[in-house]
Amino acid sequence: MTQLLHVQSVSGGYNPNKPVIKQVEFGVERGEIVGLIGLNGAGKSTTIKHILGLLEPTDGAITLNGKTISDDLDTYRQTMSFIPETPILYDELTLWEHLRLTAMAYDLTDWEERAESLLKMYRMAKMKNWFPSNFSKGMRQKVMIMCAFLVKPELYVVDEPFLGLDPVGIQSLLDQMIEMKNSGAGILMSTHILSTAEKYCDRFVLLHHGTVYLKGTLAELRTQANMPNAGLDEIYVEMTKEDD
Amino acid sequence: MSIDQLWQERAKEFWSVSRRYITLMANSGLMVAIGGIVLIIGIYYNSFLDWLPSTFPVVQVLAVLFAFMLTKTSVRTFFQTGDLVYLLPMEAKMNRYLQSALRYSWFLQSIVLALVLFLLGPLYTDRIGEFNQLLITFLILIAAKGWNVYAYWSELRYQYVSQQWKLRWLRFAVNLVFVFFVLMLEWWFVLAVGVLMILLFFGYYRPLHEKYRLKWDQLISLEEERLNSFYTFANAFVDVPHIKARVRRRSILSNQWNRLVTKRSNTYVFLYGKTFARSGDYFGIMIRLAIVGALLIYATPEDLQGLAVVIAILFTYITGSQLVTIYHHHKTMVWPELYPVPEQVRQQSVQSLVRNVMVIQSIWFTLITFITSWSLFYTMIALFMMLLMVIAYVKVQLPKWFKQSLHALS
Repeated sequence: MTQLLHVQSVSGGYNPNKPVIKQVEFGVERGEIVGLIGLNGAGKSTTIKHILGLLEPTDGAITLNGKTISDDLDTYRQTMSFIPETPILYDELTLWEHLRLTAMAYDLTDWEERAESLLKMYRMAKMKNWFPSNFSKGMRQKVMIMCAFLVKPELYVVDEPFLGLDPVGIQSLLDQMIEMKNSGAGILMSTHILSTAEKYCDRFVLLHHGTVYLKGTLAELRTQANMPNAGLDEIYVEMTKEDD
Repeated sequence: MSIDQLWQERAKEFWSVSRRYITLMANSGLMVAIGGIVLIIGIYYNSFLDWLPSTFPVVQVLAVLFAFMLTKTSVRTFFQTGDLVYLLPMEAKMNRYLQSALRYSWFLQSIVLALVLFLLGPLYTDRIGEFNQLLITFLILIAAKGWNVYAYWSELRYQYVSQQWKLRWLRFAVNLVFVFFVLMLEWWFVLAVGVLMILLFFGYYRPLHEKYRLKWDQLISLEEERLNSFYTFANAFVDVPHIKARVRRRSILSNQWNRLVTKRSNTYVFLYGKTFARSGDYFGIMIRLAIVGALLIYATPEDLQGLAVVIAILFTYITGSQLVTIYHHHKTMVWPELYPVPEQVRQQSVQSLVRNVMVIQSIWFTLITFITSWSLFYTMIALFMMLLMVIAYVKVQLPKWFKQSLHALS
């Protein structure tokens, strides 16, 4: 079986002469959570934008189930959902209408029951008919999370999801990620919260200055970095020390 | 920069931006619009005065109008969101800053009062009093405006909007009585109410400033609203990139789109339908065009029925061409780019929304044409021509427009 997501030596960014990411190569298999780790400006968001198909690589290719976005645009998009770092909501739609719009766009059937249970899980049932202007940052983030999980795609692309979330929200998110992973979905998550990443991710991709610095399971990272017994945060700090 | 200069700086900055917009607006139709209005007023004013029955309660109507204008007050603080962090610690030293804001607001709103009074001058000298008395009335109204600006500013110290509204209604009552006596030329009563207002000023409004602190959040959002309404107005003539219209629930209208079946082809019908219903820009423009168009059709002389047909077609066309910009409404959102919905489906949804709204507008204008002319012939001509134009616009012009705007984006 082909890999779920394969980023094949991708270079790209906003300026062809100054690529933000260079020859980035990694993959996400079905049933695993991959942590995308790196400092601010390391190229995480650019990598994610390339995966989402918002930027076109100057070199290399990205495949989902073996197909690039140009092979089949709509299937490519149907295969994944995205949780952005900063929540992006329609001012004109209520919470429930956000869920309904998602159900329409991804052509979901039997979505209402799941939507209701998501609302309960994230304690947002009372705000069903509220507009986003009345939401706090955490609530807005929860709307994004609910929309993504409503779709139940094969691949989740999650960009720094924990900021602003309350403890209940964080726990529900993690529980759900594990549930989706166990049911065969792949998850790519970028985060700075390394303790959580270490606990929940199966593999890691450490980006630094736009290139993949290290990748693999925690054990593999330890051998590569030559730091047996080290935690993810120690490896991370060690790795970024180099240029000081 | 000291805090005292800050207000001047901000006012200057605001005016330099506004000046640019006003120049742009002047170049693109504002002057024509104003000129048209002035011309129409000039032509109809005298016949309006002749037509206005002598039993018409001029004093009462003007009293309500001016009481409303006096009560409806704003204060330009030029506060910005960041001020919650940067100016909050300076609150105790903000007196001069706020005084400038009050003086400026008083001045600007006095100009509006003067303009309205100037427009109503002929009516005043015709029905109420002499020119000298009009001048005195003007000065008194300016003074009353100053009182209202200060009173309003004091009301804003209350935390709850409901409290503020209670005071605003009271203030309206005081203004109404005051203006009524001014227009009745009952100067002693005017003096009596004036004394009462001065007592309120010192006895009630001023102490509020000692008692309560500034309500920053509210002031900042008020300021944003005011800026927004300026930009919304400017947006009618030129493209203002950053305006964000206020969203209203409008349940009766927006619920119409709840009946859609939840399926992919309806994605953008739903999104654009709700946007049309709730965002200030689109539905509001449709209603305004419907009213203005109807008034113009109604005012068209009987022997110029053809003109009414042209007006109806023109206003239906403008309705469509204003509405179609809804296509760009969510362009800063990432979602439409990520949805697995073909771009074609999105364009079709915009097309059908534009078509439906234009057809509704056509039917409305047809109705108005029929009511004004009672001529079935012209009514049918108008309806037929409008529908023809709608089809041509939606089927021919829109696809071109989509192509152009996609081209412009990439």
